Amino acid sequence: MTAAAATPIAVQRVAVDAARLPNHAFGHQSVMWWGTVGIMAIEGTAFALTVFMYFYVWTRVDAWPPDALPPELRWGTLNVAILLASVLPNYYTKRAAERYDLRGVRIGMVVCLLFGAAFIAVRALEFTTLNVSWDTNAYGSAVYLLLGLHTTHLVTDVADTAVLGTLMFTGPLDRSRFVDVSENALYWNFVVAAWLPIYAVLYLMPRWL
Amino acid sequence: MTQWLSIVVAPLVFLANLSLAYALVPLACQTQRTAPLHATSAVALAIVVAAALLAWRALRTSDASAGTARDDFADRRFLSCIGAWVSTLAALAIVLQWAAQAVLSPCIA
Repeated sequence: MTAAAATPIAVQRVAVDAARLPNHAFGHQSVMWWGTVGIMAIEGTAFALTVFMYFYVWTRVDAWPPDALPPELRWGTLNVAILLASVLPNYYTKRAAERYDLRGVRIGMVVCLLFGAAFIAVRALEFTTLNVSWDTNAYGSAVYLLLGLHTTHLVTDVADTAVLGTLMFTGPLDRSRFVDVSENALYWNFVVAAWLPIYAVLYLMPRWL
Repeated sequence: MTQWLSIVVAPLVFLANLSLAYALVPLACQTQRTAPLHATSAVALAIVVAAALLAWRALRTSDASAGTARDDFADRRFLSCIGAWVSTLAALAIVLQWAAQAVLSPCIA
């Protein structure tokens, strides 16, 4: 055995004091952001598949919509206006959360909740003016599935906003809650963005194509 | 009616349980008591399992009444089938969520 081999090797361990790291972050540094983006990818795919199904049915019939009039425009169009208007308070709420501005978040969430409630109320009216039932034919099933899927997202997000908003008033509060508010606002943008192509597919294309 | 209840109520109960758990976790951390979390999951699971059982029973009943008008029969059977599977899926989701509550500390940020 050589002398060099017998010499003990000094091992240096590098340690990081994790206690100094923040327990939350906004945007892509947050696990919540990745979860929200993953859900949006999955749900966006589900919407795309349903739209594909709608157009597939379209290719199998001579006249579109088959045995029905297109859905009436008024309530669906009103919901486009409500959703587009809701982007502003939603943006305000997201910015307030990223500033840890509790008062701004409270105001923003109440306003967003009112927009969500208005949208759900008009959505209920939309279902009464589709001019087709879910069991009339394959077209009716596709229409109900598309609108039902979007309504599910809407109701889910409004319920989440209500719970989060209540916690913002009642507590207990820590700063990581503001990340949840920010990601909740991101998800609402997805609900808005998803509605525009669905509106075009359900309401405009049967009239224009 | 039973079929629609299974289709609508089961996912809503899952959503309510998720929201309640979200609100209760900080309290569970502060008090070091997880009993309220387990209680809400247990109640939610009981409701959803009841909805699933009703839907499966409705599916069996619709099979037995196959002699009625074709459209009615098809609708009822279809809704029963959807209700049975949706409520079963909701029950599974609640069980998985409950498992996470049982294993993880409520104080994990």
